[in-house]
Amino acid sequence: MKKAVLFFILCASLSFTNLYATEPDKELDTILTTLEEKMSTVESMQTDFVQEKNLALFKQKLTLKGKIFIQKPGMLSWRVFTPMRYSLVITAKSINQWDEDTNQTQSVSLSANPAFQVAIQQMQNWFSGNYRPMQGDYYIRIISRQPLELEFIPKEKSVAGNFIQKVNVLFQSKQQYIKKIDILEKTGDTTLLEFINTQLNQEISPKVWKVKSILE
Amino acid sequence: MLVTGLTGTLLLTSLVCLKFVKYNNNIELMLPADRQVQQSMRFLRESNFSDKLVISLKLNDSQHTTEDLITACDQLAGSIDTPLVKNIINSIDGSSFMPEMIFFLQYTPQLLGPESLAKLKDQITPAGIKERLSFIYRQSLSPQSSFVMPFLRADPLNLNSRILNNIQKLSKASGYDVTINRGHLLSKDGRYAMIILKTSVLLTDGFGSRNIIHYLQEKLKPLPKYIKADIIAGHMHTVKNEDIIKKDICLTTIIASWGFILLFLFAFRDWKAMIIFLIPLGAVLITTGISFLIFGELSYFVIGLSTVIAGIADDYGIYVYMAVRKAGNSLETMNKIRRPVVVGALTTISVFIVFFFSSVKGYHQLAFFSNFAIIICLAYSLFILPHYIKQEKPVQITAETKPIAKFNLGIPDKIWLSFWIILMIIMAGLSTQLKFNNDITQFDGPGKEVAKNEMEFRSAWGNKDLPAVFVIQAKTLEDAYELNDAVYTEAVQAVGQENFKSFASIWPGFSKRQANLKSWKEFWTNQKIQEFKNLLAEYGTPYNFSPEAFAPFVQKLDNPATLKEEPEGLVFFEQLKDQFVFKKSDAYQIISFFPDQNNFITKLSGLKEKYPGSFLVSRKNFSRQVSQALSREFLYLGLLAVLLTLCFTAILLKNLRLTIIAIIPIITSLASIAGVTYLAGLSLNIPAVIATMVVMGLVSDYGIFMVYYCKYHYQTGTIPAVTLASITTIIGTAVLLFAQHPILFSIGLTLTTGVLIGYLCSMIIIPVAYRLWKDKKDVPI
Repeated sequence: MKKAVLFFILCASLSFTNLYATEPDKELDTILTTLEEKMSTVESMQTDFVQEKNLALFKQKLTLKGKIFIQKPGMLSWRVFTPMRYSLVITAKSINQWDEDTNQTQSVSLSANPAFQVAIQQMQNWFSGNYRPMQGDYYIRIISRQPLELEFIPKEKSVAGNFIQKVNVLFQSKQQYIKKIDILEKTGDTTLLEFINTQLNQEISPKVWKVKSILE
Repeated sequence: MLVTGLTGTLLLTSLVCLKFVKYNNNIELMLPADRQVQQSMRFLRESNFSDKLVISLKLNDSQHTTEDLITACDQLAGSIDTPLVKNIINSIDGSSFMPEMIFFLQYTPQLLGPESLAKLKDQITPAGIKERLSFIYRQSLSPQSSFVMPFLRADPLNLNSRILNNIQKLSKASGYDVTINRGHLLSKDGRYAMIILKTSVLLTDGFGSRNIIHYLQEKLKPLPKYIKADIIAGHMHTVKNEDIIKKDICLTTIIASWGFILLFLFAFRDWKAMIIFLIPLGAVLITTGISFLIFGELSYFVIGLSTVIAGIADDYGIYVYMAVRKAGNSLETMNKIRRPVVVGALTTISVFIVFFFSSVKGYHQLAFFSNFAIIICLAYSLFILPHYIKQEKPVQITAETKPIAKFNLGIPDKIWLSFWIILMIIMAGLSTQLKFNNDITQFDGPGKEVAKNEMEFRSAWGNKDLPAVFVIQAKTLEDAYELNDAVYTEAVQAVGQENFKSFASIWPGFSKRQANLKSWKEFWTNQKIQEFKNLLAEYGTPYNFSPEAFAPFVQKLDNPATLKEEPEGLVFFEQLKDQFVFKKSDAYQIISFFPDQNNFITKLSGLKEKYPGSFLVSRKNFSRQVSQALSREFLYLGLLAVLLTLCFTAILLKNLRLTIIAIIPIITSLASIAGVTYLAGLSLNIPAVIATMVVMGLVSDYGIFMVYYCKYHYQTGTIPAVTLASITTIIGTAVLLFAQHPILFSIGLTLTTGVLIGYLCSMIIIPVAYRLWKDKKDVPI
């Protein structure tokens, strides 16, 4: 009888352990699938942003304000208005950046800039909503469910692990877009990127994709 | 009875030994002993290219993603567990790349030359510093700032852009465009993945190659259907070449055997005629065993030519058989045919003997194999065969009184002669258009599937042309780095930096690094460092840069890294070094890559002469080296063969006129081979040249027999004998036209054309020439 009870306890504990181990994975998988579905309905996005950078490079916090435009597949326009006008435009054909200080347009070759390549890839990953493939590079953990917040910690062998300690991503209540991204870098630098006045699937002006055009 | 018993025992022993004979399809056996050729070959054999196999995985349908491809890679890599594979490179640890790069920047003082310091001097000015700080500030506004900031802090003056650029170039020096995704080696479009396996199996090890290829093919089977996996490796060529040659040998032997059997049964209608077929078969069998005992292993090419050798070696049996059937096996009959048969054999033997003077080991085998088989056949034909054959009906052996059989179709001799002259002019004209193909890859015939897979592989991975390699070697690693650096400096001047990818571009020799470090220290005086700090502080203030903003760089200015043989513990450095630096048993070799184009090869060949021990390895250069070496050799060997053939012919015929007539088939065959090869859209190659020399030996026999016949008119069945001899030879050579292997095919085409034309010429043109070029002593024909 004792043996039967022990066997039962052992089986029960094993199955419970198993359940405990797999439940969060299942939940995460469900969440990532839901996110993928919801964000897949977004074809374009335009949003204001405020970026706060605490970098060892600067004495004080650096705050950037600007706009981001995203058009699927693969088009991104990053516009900084303050403290200095700067723009980066990625289209299917090219990657260009411009700043008002030099008033020069610079074309970027991804093959010649591996760091840039990683950065662009990471950025596109965050905005695409396609997070399940990112599990190859990151451990993903649920921080909160409502509003949804996920924590991404780069895996040991991933390229992102070179730069990033962890990334926290907070989603908007309907989980259609990102509300806030908080990046802690390996160097201790932090970057907080907050999105304001986000508009989904609105027509984007073609001049957004011209790197030198001035937007208000 | 004793002879039969001994022969049977010898044949049985040879048959048993056949199981133990080792074959070799190593291309080296067929290459000349030229120093440069052997050096290139040794390098290719011992380099770390030869111990790698690549498995290329491709996504077959658009439904599946790169993720599925990566999963398949992991599944496959995880399933490979064999001592044949020493190391599997499926994923690359990318996590250490960034810190390693920044760590490597500490060697900047040793890596920057005087020209960089001159530029640096211009940069440490108010305008220069202001411009750099403005640039760094602008970078902080970009979305990629997190990824570039550590570099900018460690190198605010952008001193290392050239070094980092060189590191990137070197990582792509082999010509393949690989991207790293989740640590895996993927093509740009993410549809292909690559797994690299390091093996202990040598490329030349046919048995080991077969084992590892079979093992991997089994491991590829469980992969999902949406994945296509191909093995890309030299080992694949070893196995496929062996398979194709084996298949060719099997096919040609079967076809030739049936051809011989049918010919003997229908032409001779005498079961004893089978002995003529069995003599060369037995001779080839015995020779195979004896050649193996002497050489230790046999080239597949030699074995592939065994049907040709059998076709040649049965000629003597046919001559003897025809004579004995016609005139009996009396001493008188044998005396009548012994001289032309022996001299005919000697001319053929002399051509093969010439190959002993070649520096190509494979040709020594060919010479021994052929001559031994021919001698056995000759001896059996002259001394044993007559005892087994009976005369059809007794006749008196006298000179024939009726005119010799004519093949001239009633056409006047002068028209035939004119036709022959026109043919010779056309063929000679065509032969001037013939090109010589010296591409070594023509020896390699792995089949369409392997070629298709390799083409797809190269197209997927962006490799259009394989680069050539410049190799330096030295006793110690330090000396090797030193020499490599010296070569790099000059090579860059000769062909430009963008065309010469050398390890010296990121790690120069000790003396240069020492000199660079000295210059660096002299440049960065305390005063200069202070001036630089002041400029940073002054022009950094408007941008709000912190005092510690560029500490990673400033702290190293008065404390640069010490001189070492090479950096330690850097994975990226070790990986690059693994591609460029090879440790040999008694030396170090360092390679550099450059485009495999004639102009670069020519320019760098001069450099090679300046640095003893260094050499170039390129497909084009290698072909040229082989071609030059073989051309030199074959000019001499060809002349020797011609001289020997002429000598033996002249000795037998003892008459200049008859000798000239006897060599008409040789001249005609040579011109026709050149013309037909051109008309077939092929080019001349070394195996074809060898085959041409063999043709000389063969058709000289026909010429000798026909001239002998024209002169003496002996009733020994010369014309049917020559006809049957040439038919059996053509059977032996024409079967090679069914061979898949390009070399065997090329040999087949040359031999068939040469023998056929030589035979027709012997039958038609020799009697014509004999009749037109009259001599008083001649018997009218």
